[in-house]
Amino acid sequence: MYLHETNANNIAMKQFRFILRTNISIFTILFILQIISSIFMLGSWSSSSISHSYDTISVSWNTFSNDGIVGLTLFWAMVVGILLTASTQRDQAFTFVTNRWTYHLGNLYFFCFAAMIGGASTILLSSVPKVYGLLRYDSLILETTGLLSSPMDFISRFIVMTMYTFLVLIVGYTIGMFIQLNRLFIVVIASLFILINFVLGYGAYYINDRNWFAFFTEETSLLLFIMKMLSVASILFLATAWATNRLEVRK
Amino acid sequence: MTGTLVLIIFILMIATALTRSRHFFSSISWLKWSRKTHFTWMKVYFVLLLASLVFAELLEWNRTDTHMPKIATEEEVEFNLYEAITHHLPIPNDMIVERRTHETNGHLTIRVESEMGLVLIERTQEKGTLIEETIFKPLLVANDYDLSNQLQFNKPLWQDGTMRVPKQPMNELQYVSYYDSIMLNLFTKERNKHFDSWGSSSQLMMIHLRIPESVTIDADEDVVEYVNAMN
Repeated sequence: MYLHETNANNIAMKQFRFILRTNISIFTILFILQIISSIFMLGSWSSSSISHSYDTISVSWNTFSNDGIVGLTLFWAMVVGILLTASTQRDQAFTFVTNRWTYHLGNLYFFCFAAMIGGASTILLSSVPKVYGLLRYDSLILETTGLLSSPMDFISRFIVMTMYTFLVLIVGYTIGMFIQLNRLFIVVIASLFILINFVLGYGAYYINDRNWFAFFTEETSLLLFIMKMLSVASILFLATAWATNRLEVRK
Repeated sequence: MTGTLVLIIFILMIATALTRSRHFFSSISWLKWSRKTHFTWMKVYFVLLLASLVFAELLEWNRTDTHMPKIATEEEVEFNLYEAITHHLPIPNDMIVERRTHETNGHLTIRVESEMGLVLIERTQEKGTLIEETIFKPLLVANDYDLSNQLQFNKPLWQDGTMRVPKQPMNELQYVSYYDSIMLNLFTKERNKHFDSWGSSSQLMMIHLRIPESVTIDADEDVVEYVNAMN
């Protein structure tokens, strides 16, 4: 019997608040990255032009999208996931009376928060290129729906982006933690990626092709998509927590 | 495969560099803002994003859709006008520009100034000298949009038993479109759109002439086609 009863969740929440306070600048970096990407994106076009019917018809089609913002946000997530495994971060975590499990749990809460911020900011920022296009081009063709025209599509985009960001954060965290455990994991992880790629086919970058992204991208049910994402993230997270349970607290 | 390897190596290099650095966070503290400033910046950023969203929605809500090309249906894309004419299949009315009749003195001369229109001649068993002309508009489908109505064309000119298909105007169309990343559209109506691929198809203006057998025709065989779609 103790004067102050506590549990793992409370400690993890305290650690989450601590991690958030000490790493708040990474969100500033995300926002700066997003602003930069959206400024550069406005000048980046995908253009196609074609001539038809004995050259009497010439069509020039320019498109732009928020691919750049999405890509940079996911890159940021990967870096943040890895950064949280840096030794200074681990040292700071033991400012509290804690153990390895609550440390991981605190990081998980932080990833949830970071994923929501990344997802929300990406989706909301997508309105900026839209505004630019609508103001600049009278005949802009909007091949997307807005919040008012299709609220469910808007919400689904937010959920999907949040889930992607969360998974990438966890992947980064897993990679970072295993490399912390032993540098040889660099070879193991690289080999694993190549093996998965060989088993499931080539061309890992083409969505809807036969590749290891297809496990997520070919899903037609949002609920199943979330479950798949959470399952993969859980496996990676639990594997990381189990493998690094005996990692030294401080060198 | 090379791309995957480059990506993996790149990620692992970053991972190694970051995890080895004990002072990475302090090194990126070029943002020497206080914690409170960071939180304030976060709030301001989200307020600006929300304002941008509201503005975008208002702009979208207030714009008229008159200039927006309609999306071509699968039937429209696959519709074969040539086959429909030669086999007497039903043809949608919106493809027909005009139906006209022309009285001749028993002889028709056809002059096509350039290869920009297809003249299909159908000889009929009817007696007389009346020629029935049906003009079909040129068709253009690009990126699943039906842009046919944006095309300008010159109709054939008839004078003294001569049909002249004038030189067609040059159509230069320019479009700008915006789409949300394919990755985000997994559960939206845009899911099956392939924004990364470009596709277009077009069809020339077609002129279908129903000419009685008794009328003699003077035309360059290269610019007209006789179809045997007799009833």
